[in-house]
Amino acid sequence: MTGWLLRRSVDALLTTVLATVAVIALVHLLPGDPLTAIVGDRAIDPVQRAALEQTWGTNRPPLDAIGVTLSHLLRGDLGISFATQRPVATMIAERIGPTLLLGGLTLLLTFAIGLSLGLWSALHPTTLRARLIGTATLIGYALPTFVIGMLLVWGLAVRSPLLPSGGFADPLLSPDAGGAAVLLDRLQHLALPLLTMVLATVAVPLRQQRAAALGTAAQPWVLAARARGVPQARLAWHHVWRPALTPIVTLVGLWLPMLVAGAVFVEALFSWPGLGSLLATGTTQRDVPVVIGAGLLLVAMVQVGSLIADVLYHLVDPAQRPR
Amino acid sequence: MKSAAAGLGLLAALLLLALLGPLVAMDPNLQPALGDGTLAAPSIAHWLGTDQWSRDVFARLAHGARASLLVAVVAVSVAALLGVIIGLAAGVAGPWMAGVLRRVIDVGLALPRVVVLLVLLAALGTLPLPLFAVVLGVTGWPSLARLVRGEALRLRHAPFVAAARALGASPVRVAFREILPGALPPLLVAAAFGTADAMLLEAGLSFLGLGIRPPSPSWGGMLLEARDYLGTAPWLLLAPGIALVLATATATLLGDALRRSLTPDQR
Repeated sequence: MTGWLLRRSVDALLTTVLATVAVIALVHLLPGDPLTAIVGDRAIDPVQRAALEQTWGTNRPPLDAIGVTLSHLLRGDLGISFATQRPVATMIAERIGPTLLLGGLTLLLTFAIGLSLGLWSALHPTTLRARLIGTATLIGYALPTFVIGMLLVWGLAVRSPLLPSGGFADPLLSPDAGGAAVLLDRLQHLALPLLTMVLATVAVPLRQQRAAALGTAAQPWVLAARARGVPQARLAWHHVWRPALTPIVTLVGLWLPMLVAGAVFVEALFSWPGLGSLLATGTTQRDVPVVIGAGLLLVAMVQVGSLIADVLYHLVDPAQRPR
Repeated sequence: MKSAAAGLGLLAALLLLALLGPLVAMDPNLQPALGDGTLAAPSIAHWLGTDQWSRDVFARLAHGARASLLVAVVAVSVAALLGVIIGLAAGVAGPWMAGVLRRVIDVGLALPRVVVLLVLLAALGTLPLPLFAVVLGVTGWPSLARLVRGEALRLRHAPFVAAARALGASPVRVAFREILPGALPPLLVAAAFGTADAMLLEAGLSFLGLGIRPPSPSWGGMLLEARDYLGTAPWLLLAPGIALVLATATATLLGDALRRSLTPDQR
């Protein structure tokens, strides 16, 4: 196990490093001067322009610039934002919490709901409710994330104003409000983005789990267990669900990039102060250092996530457990 | 069969909207009654109502369909071209080169497409529509390359490939004339699903204000503008939202039908 884990970790690290180099090389080799985005059409004193180019290193030849950026990155220096003049590392650090909160809760809820509903549908495949669940998730799957989000805003924030339509916290909340009031406010702001993400992503684990559980439910050992009177709940979790778990764990790794894409659009729609919305606004402002920093952090997070998923996969499947 | 019929029907409707819609609809940027016709509900004069600048929503939807389809088709073609070249090369190259290309594909797969797209758009700035479609396509190659590589590895020791080699066919000829035809069915299926992805990405980027830019009509851009009028003009949300869902459903249904008929063994 240790040897395998080491090899797998080195592989993930190598992929992340190569991806980082690729992204940075891409940005520097592409045509287009990012400074133009800041300066715009304004006439600018050539001396000032040279000073700006010096500050951001946009006047270096591409290969040089790639090397300088990478060496700064190695020291943890992500540069200064074009738009806010603040260190990119600080801007990103502020955004990690909300993204992990939204993404983590989405992952948890999506898999909890997807797995239990999928298992339930597999055990009661002919009921009307199972068919309704199947149709509802297909609709959720077909709808683009931001359309789901806007429909929810329309229904739950505009037509009947139950929930806030965006943001992370109510700026008008009195600073000496009690812990319970603050928690309620945070939960209210979390509700719509979280609901959007779950609705958009739940179909995949649900359908996979149903297919896998349908497969195991037809196995002779399930019939044997039923025949010797194993209670329904134990039958469901122990005999049907446990062997059907393996393909689902693989799914977590494949599913993470989808979470990133969802995060970008959902965070932007709900002005959720996370990495995804930082990436989106950074791109609108052509704030290249911010986009690279936030983008690479998301890449690294996906790599770490799929590494964890791989470890889980080996723990869950006895046949795959490396000795 | 059912999904093939439904997909083809939807495709016909979509093509009708994209090709003929702009002919019968008015200029999408015309503002017929700016004084009092803004945010008008659907009527005989304006089938899908008007938006906040009094522009006809149906006209914008039809012109947006044209842009959306065009971008998706160009993007998928570019992605398929790159995927085929890289995937075939990785499948038939010598051991050293094949290892490098395998790593290249792995790195490509490790980068979430949205992240790469945003990095590219931040570096390149505003792009004209055809270039935007190409950039969208350039980011779509890794999954297709992996698929083609897998097929190439499966086929490269097949008797007919060995025969072609023995007859002195060059590696390029072997790759394109012997292996590629065998890899086409799953590639076509993946391209159909890829069209849905490309349409969704285009709409999403336009929704962020990064894809097709106003005043050019696009479904994502219409959704972005609808955001401020959800309470007063829900048709601004529903028209492009439903169009987008039907368009992606079309591609998904056709992909499903293709998979059933072309790759029956891989279900």
